[in-house]
Amino acid sequence: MGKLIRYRIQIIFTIAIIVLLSLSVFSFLRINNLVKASALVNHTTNVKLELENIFSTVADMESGHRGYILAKDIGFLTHFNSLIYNTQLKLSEIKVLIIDNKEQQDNFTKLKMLVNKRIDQMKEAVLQSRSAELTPEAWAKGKATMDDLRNHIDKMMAQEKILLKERTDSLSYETVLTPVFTIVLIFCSLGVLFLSYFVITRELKISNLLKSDLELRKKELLNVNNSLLQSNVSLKDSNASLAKMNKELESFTYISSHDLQEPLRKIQTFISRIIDMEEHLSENGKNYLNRTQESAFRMQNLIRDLLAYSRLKTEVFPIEAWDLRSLVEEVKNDLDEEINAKNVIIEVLGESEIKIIVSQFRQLLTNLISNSIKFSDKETSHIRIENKTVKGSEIPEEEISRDSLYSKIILSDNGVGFDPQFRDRIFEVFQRLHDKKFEGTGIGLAIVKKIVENHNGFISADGKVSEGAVFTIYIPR
Amino acid sequence: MKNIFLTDDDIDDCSMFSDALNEVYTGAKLTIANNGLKLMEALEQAVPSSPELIFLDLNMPLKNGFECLEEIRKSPRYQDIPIIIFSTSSNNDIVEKTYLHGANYYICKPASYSILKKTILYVLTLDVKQLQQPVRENFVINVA
Repeated sequence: MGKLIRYRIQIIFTIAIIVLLSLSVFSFLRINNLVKASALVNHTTNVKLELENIFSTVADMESGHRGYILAKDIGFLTHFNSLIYNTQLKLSEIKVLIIDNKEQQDNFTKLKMLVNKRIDQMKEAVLQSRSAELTPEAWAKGKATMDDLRNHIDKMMAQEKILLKERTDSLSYETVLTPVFTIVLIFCSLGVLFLSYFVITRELKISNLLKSDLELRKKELLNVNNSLLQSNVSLKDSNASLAKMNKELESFTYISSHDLQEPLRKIQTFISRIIDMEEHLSENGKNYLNRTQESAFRMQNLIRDLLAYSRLKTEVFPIEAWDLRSLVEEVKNDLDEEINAKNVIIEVLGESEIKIIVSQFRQLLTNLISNSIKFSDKETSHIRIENKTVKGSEIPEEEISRDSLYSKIILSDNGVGFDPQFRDRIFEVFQRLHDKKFEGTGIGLAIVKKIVENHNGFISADGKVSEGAVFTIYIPR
Repeated sequence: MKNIFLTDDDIDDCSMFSDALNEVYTGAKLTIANNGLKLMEALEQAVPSSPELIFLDLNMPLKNGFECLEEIRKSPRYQDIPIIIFSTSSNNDIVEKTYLHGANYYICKPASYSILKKTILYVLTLDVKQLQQPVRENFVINVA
């Protein structure tokens, strides 16, 4: 940016220097012309002066030689002779003066001839006057030459006058023009000066603006950088605390799986020994011991389920394409006893392939099926599992990618069902909708929901009291 | 006479195990060590008649079950002794870890005394070949 400004300022100054220099040259030429014109005027005036001089000298000589002729005074003659020399001097001066003028040079030749002719006549007259009286013809001849000379000088003077007029005009022209030109030069200089000032000021302003803008940007960038650094630090902090929490969760998991279960197991074992070995217990005693054992058993299940729930958050498994029917068969085998005890029919309809975390989805099916079995109250329990592929746009959930494909798995039963107003609470930990008649820890469906979320899917439940429950699961296809 | 070692820091569990063993199997000599260090000492003293079976708890002070398992499997003298993990935990990760470290079987301490007896009896009736580490699915013994 600074480079460009320097470049522009250089251009402006170069132009200014060129303009001022050329104006100065013009101005110099103008002044030169003025001087020349003035010199020419002077020159012409000099020529006129010299011409008049030469005539008056010749006229002087005229009167001198006449004086001698009349008075025969030698003084007149001396004066006359010195004037001859003077005349020659004046002639040579005029010759130099009119050297630039061709016409006047021609005129000069004639002038010189006439002057010399008259001088010769006068010399002759002086010589003649010594011996004889001068004839009237001689005087007339002299006068004629004198008249010629006067006319000729007048002619030359007229010409010089014309020249003088021309030169005076030119001089007055120059005299007017030169100051005008100088004023123009001054104004141009001032203009260039102002222009340069204006442009430089503007450039400086722009450069300052750019500079301050740059500073601002720099500051902003620095701020952004700082806040980024800060958020990085806080991110690191929260990462660290997250890692710490995870660690704590792991140790909690271990405590649950081991330290909590150990005393419980001992209680159960000792009670089982008492029940087995002590034959002399009262009926009440046996009853209490049995109920204690049942409570301990429930607690064991609770711990086991809680453990399973907490572990779901921390473990990461790969998603595989799997066969739904075979998975349901496996679950059916695991739940063999309950299925036979309650006369349960399980059927699988629709597509078979699903993409799942196998161990988790097996747990999900186990929980849902055993849930349905648990809450069955009909002579024959009917569990239907249906699977089909749907588009994201058909799913009534907000955070769904509309173009992706999903597996829609519907599990419905004909059990006791539930009041539809609890359809969301049903998935919360420890939320039990039924009394203790139906055994359970209240964690099973929370685990189901967690597993669906681990698959990036959605689950919803619907039901009607004493007609059955419907669970709808969407997982990416 | 079967020479059996039990390593467990829990006195109740040890006495329960001892009782159950005596009830179901008469031809066994039980040696109890209360932690891993004591197990290693007992192994040293038992030479040359090494035990035919070691029941090993995992969570113990001073030297835990994992350390014992690793040490025994690395030792040329004891590496062939069958080790049955006998732990409260049913955590899959822990089961997996002991399997990979070369334990022969895994017993999750049962909550019922009668099941405990059945389990001990089952293990003691396994012959040398049956005591070799099975496939992963059969690693955890469940007699219920």
